[in-house]
Amino acid sequence: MEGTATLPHVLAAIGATRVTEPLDPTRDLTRDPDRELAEAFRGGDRTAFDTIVRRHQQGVWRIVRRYIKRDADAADVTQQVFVRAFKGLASFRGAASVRSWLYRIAINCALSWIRDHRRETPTEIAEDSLTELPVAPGRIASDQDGVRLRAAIALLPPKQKLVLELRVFDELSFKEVAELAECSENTAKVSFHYAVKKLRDILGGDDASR
Amino acid sequence: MPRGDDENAPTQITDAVSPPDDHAPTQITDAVRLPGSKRTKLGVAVHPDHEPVELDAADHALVARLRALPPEGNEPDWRKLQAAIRARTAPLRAPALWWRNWRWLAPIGALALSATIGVGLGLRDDTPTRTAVVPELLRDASVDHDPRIVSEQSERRDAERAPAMWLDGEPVDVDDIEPEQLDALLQRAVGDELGATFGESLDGATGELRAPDAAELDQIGVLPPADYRWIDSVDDDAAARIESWLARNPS
Repeated sequence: MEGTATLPHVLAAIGATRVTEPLDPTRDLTRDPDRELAEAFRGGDRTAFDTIVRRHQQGVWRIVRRYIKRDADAADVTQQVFVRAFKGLASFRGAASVRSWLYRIAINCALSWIRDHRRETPTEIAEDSLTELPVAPGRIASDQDGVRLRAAIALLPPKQKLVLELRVFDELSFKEVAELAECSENTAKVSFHYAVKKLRDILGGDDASR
Repeated sequence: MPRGDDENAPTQITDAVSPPDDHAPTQITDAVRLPGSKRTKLGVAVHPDHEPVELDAADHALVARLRALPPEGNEPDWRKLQAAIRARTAPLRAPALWWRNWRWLAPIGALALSATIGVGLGLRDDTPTRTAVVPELLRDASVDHDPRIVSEQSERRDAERAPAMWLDGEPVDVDDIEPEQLDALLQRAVGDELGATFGESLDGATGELRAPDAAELDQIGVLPPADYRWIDSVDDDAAARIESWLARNPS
């Protein structure tokens, strides 16, 4: 049973404006909508790359932000992701979708940044770890719920965490999740199921019954 | 939320995930098949293989709560982010496949190769080089000529000149001589030579060589002591003329 409080509804409720170009939810997932843009870019059309940036910068930023807890660093790494994509798009073979390919670059860049900044003090890294949307009266409970949920997600094994986040927060298909998690589609489905079950175990029976 | 697949869709367990490992970011590895006992410990209502596993209502509710969470952090100004990306990629040349820089090399190379082959064929000298071997018809008997050595220059000289015959030390153009005069010249030359060479061997009456007696044979051998090596240098045409002359003049 799915809830109606999806992310777009939440954003609309708080009045957030979206400058990015959202993907069409009725898109045919069997066909990559960015393939033509990639071909145009390889043909020398730089504006095609700008379109790709507008389409995917938000998704890339979200993935990077899950690894890097500082907004400024996450934005900088997001720029690095697209600069690397600019250089590598000529050799993009099209085995996966452009979005999957970008998200793979984002994960690798985020992990590289974490590896390079491992020596930083934990306070600097976790400066914004608990900072969510501006807290308003009446939303403390939901923020606390969000904090607990994110804390529970952080306790999941890395693969299940990755699969769960890609599926829930990034709205990827299991096929795309499998491409990023480097496993089969069936394994991705099983990992997702295990992640949900384990999350329920972590949160306890009381949360599951809400 | 429309997606390409549904969480409610039955899922077949054909591959199991690996046991939980450390929480550090690690490489995603392939899944391994868990034995039935471990799968039971995870609390999953596992059916035998190839049977579907579904999320129950509580699971779907939890997923809905997760999807309702606001995004982490404060989203940046997307226009500024796009501008920053454009500024960082502006100095970079739009990537292209490596062969695009060389796409003119193939037709230019083919054109250059064709031109080179054409020039090479055009400059080739097709005139055959043949060495004209024109042996001398007759040579001076007093000069020791090696008939096997025929220089190209002498052959060319000889080819340019009319065929010459040496009679009595003088070059005689056979084509300019009447047959009767040739006979007289030959008679004079051969007769004189025969007389000078054989002397007493000639029969005064007939002019023919007298058969040598036994005593002369013992002294001079079977063949008369004459230098007849010039006969080897005579070609077929000259030999035919000599034979015809000898046939007309049996004496």
